[in-house]
Amino acid sequence: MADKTLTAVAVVGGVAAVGVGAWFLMKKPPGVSPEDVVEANVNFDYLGEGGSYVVLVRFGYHRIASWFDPEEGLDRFMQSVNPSEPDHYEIAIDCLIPVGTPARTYDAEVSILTPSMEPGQDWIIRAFIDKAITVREE
Amino acid sequence: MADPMPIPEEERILTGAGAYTEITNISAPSGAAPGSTVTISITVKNLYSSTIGIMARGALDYGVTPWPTINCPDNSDNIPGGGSLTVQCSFTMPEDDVVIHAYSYYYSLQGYVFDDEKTKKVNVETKPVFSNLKVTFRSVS
Repeated sequence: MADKTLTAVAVVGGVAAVGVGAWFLMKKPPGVSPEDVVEANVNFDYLGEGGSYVVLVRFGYHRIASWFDPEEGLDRFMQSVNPSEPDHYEIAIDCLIPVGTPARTYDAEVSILTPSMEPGQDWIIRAFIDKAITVREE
Repeated sequence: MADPMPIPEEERILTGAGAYTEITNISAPSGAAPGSTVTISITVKNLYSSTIGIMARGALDYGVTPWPTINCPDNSDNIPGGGSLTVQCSFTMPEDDVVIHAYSYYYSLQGYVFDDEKTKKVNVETKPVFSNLKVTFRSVS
């Protein structure tokens, strides 16, 4: 009886350990190396009647509140979007991690702006993602 | 193209119209969100008694110099006396209120001659254009 109980506890414990491990793996930011490509999957709801916009993704350091310091070389991943009607939109932006990027974990900033706005300085809407990616040693 | 018109010595400034043409309407929304495509139409009436060549154009005044021109494809035609030319134009709404300057021209021996100008303001709308912005990342290498 005691053996069966121990076996059951071991099985449950093992499953739990695997689950916790899987959870940690899922929570861990994508690890990439210089020259790898990170795909940013951007989702948003558009409420207008059509227009031309730019989606900008930058990696760097999210300080306090809305203060974001981009890392040089990781600050200009952009793609044009032309939503035509109110709807949910989803786009993918390939972000090539340049050679020489310091190994560390980076926060990310995604913003949507008009073509005439200054990237990184102006935006219509913006969001931050802490610990978005981890760049490994080359 | 219709026969070129002579350039009159005096333009009919007091009437608010040009010598041969008058901008009778600028159709535009009162407001638009930044970055949105604003579609407008400019209607120019031929004040002359017979057919002349008429062209319409436009520019945007919102603090940027030189004023950006408005995209107006197919903006000229021969218009019979008393008739009107309506031109469809579009531009991307800037981040500031903008004043549309519409211009009309008639065809002369010197080419197209500026004749009339009207303006209309389009305000920046502040209602949100985007919401629920989210992003996820994955390595694809």
